[in-house]
Amino acid sequence: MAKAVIKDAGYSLFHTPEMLIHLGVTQVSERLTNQDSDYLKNIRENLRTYEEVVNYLPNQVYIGNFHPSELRELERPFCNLDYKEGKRFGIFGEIMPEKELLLFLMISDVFGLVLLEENFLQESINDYQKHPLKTEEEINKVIGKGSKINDIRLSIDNGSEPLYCEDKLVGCVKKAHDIDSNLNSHIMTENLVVKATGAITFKHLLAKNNVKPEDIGYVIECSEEACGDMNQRGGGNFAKSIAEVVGAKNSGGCDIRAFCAAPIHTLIHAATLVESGVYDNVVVVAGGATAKLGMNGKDHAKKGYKLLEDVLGGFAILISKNDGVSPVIRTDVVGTHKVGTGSSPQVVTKSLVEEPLKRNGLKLSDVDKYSVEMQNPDITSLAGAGDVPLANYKMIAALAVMNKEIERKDILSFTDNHGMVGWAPTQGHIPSGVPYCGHLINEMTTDTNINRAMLVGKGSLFLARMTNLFDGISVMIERNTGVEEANNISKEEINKLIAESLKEYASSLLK
Amino acid sequence: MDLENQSRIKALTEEHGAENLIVVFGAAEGELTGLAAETVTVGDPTYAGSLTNVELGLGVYHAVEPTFKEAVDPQVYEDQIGMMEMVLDVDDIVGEITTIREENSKYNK
Amino acid sequence: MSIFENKKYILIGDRDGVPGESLKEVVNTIPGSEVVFAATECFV
Repeated sequence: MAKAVIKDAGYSLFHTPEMLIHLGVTQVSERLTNQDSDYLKNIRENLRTYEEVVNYLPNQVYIGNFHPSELRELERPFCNLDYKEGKRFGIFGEIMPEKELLLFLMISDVFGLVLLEENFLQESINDYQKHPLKTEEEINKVIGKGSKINDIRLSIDNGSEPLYCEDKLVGCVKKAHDIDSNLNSHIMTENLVVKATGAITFKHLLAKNNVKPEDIGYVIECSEEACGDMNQRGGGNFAKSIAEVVGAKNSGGCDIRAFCAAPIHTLIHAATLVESGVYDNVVVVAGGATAKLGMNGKDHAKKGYKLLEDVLGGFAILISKNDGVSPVIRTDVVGTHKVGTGSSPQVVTKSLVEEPLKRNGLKLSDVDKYSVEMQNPDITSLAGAGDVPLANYKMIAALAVMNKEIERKDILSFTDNHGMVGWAPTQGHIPSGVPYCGHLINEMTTDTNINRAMLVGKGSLFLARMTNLFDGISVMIERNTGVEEANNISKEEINKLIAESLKEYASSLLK
Repeated sequence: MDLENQSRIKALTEEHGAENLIVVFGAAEGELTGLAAETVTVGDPTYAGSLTNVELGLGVYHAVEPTFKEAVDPQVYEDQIGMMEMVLDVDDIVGEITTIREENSKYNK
Repeated sequence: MSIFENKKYILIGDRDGVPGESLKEVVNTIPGSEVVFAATECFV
């Protein structure tokens, strides 16, 4: 069977400082446990402006205006750099301001749950009118549908989740049911944000014209929220709701959940669907997680830094039939963390990285780039949680030492050569192996020395209190050789096989 | 430290007695180790959890400390922690946890 | 007798450091030890 390829990828960020304050779990918890804290009192002083977020280089890497390797040359923390040339749009997508995201929340809402104040609605429409991917249909859906501020206040008194922009109440999300906690206004807000951010990112993927929306056969959403009601809490399905927004009318879809490892699980699912011929084009999409906004904010503020977890992330990756050019997904080189694998870092790394390579006669150093969990180290180091990608690279290097591929003294050069500096926001699933796909397509379709990459995802299953197991999965991506995969069996051979089995059948009848 | 974990530790200390308990951390950095160790000795420094202003004084250790390593089976240690010993900044972590233990632990130090 | 023997253990692992389950395996080799709580924290 012909392998599937990574044909295209879209990436977007959404600057959402008000959602950070009002919906981020760290801030929500702080309001419940310590509502007079200095952290909450001073939080606005610690927020970044939209311009600061656009000029923040890891964000520019995420949307494709810089290559990850350029981060290595820079001094850290990146947030102290004085860079002023940041752009809203990049080759993979954009960094959208909160005002337009709120509008898109209303555009993508089909149950009349999102109310926006009439003046704010008009302002945000005026802004969105300039967006290169806006459609008249989208504008027509919401124009003139603004609410009076008093009605919004009344709705909030009745349990709606307030929506803010620039420290001003501008709207709300209504609860979708009176007593069902899975449809309360907070959860509806979280879920509509997943839908809206996923859909905008999907639009960016489509804008590159590598696939028509009607040619997409299946969409799989792989973020970390769950949509459903009290009879089926995670019933689903974000995927089709997003596909509907972007006009992928011939697409089926479903959601896959596996904590932060979900994107790689999903990429492999998508590849096998294409490889087996079920669909020609499958899109893997994920929206952002409001819950994780400002997750390590208390540590950032304590050290005198701005709150760096102020963006939602989204990605959309197109998996298609082999075109002879795009990078190939090697579903035969998949590393699986199994139930019986154990959870020590070395067995996890062995199962995800060493085992699939060894099984295919490859060494750890045969992989040119590893894309592990690409969290931006600014965010984690300033919170005292270390540099996650670097720790992962050191683990792979340590395995290479144990396998006598490299000397112990070469650990650092191995991490430099086969690793990257992280650039993705700590949005759980967003950093998980997949942020590299866009850059990887460019590298593997041009004259570079990147021929093999491995995408590694890990997930903390134990957080759901169902099991103490860890999780992880990996897959190798390879430069396309452009050669049609030869059929293993010729026509003559097939004829011979048929003749033999007929002969066998005939002789069995004679017995 | 996670708020739920703080509540569990508080309840377990009441149940078993601080003198009978030892806390072992696996944190990835010295700073995080220090914050966690502080939480179970002199109280939650972030004033968020149920250990805020609660001085449990528990004995605290980190998995990469030589004293802890000597107390356990070497082969199991190698299998479970050997690689992380190579990856983590052991000196930084040992420095942090030793300071907190010497200054703040009342038991098992 | 080492200070570690015959004690009850609370283990706070780290997803990106040493996870709780690994700490448990190791502590179980200490004579008379009993793990009363093991968790793994996650900062990402």
